[in-house]
Amino acid sequence: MTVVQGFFDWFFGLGSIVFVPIIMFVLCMGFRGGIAKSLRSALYMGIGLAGLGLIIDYSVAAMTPVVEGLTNHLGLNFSLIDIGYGNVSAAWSWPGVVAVILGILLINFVMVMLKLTKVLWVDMWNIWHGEFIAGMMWALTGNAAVGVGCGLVLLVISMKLADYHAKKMQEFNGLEGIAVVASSAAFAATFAQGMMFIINKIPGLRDLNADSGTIKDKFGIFGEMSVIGAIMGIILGILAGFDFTNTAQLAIKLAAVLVVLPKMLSILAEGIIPISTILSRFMKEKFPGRELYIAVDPAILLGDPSVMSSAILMYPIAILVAAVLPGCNFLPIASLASLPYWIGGMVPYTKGNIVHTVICAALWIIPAALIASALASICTTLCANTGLFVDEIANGAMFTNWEEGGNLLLWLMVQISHMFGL
Amino acid sequence: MKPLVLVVCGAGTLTSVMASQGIEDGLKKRGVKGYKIQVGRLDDVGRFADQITVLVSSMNVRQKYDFPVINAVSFLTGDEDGQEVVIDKVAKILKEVQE
Repeated sequence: MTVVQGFFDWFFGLGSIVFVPIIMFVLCMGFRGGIAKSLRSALYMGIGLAGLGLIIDYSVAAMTPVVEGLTNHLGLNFSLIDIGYGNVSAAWSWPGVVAVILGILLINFVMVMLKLTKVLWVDMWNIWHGEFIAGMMWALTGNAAVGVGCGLVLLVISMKLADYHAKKMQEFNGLEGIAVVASSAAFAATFAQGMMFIINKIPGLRDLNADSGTIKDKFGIFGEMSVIGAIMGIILGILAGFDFTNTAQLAIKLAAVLVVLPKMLSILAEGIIPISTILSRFMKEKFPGRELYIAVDPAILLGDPSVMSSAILMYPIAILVAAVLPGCNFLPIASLASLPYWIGGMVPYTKGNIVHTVICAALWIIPAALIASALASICTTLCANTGLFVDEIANGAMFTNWEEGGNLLLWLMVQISHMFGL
Repeated sequence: MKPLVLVVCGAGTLTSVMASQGIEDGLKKRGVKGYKIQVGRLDDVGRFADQITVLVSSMNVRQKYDFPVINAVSFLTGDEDGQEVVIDKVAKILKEVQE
């Protein structure tokens, strides 16, 4: 037993940029991907994680003086640092990563076989949502099995929701045979469906709309991450009491973070895609002739013009909500990138109505911001345990994010574990 | 200047990379050369508008453009016949431009 323990300690001690590629290589070989493909996949996972590490370190270094400045200068309590999708790095780097991957694939296989779902889970990438929840519960309880269990619960619920929303998403986006298992879209769609039930009962409000074409034409540039980053940098620099040089630097730095971070995620994704493709073929062969929905990334939901138009309106609203909301202790700059995915899940139910979409999104971010603030200490522990921001954490810095750090289900799970005294 | 195939999705992160990898492989098999393929977000279309030969999108694009737009959702769903159709279309357009 000590030998096994010793091996695992050594293996995970190699650091995520080494052990994650090794795991991916074995997994890819296991799905009969061949050496060349598996090797490339593995390396790109490592490169992606390394690149993501660079940019989130850079982002944290840029934001740390801002957080201090806001606290000292304005007396505001925005002590937490938002890492946005930087948390994907922690999600793929926690020790139970393989168990969650194999767990959800096996559960999905059995559920499809028993005709309990039509969704074929071949979307490797979005397993990260479950990995992050799993990592958080592991960080909280110290028990990897609890983590894996909680991660799988989130993924299975997402899968059932994906099944439920599939037809609606297919019709609205004009795409056949797909489903979106990412909890970002599946949970937001469920919320929007409920909200629309209420909105449609309110005379006046139910008929309000704004033209998405006009918004995109007039304000299109404010939907680009580069511009959002620069504007946020200038505003934050001024509020934090920076001089001109530092404000200008912050503007470019934040723009750089928002533009470069997705590119790093893209490199990481390049490592995962071959496995997804192999898996897709492998699974389809097992169920010939069945009507199945293929799980795809929520990026395909962003095609309707109403999505980006609503997102453009939501960026400033989100910052304002975070600024005035009691109990919210961070400004969700990096997390703004989650908005299009949430909105993409909502628009099939709001039928692309901008006013209704913005109402749904503005209400949706309130629990996300509060939960992300409340669970920041767990997120910070997870970062520390997966080797992120070790020095900053030693100096007392704390980290969080909207997605999935602000997930309602995660919050419930944390409350339940508290009840059991974990 | 080499003709440009721009492959886009909502985020330029995942689904566009999936499609671009498949298209590159398919074009190689068909012996099509001398083109540039790039991955991006739907927002990037504006920046590249005067360079794009053909736009491939993993989503349904509702906007109208001067260049042909091809839907590549088949690369996400693993529909191999659909993928061949997409690659054929791209190959045809590239060959026409190159002649």
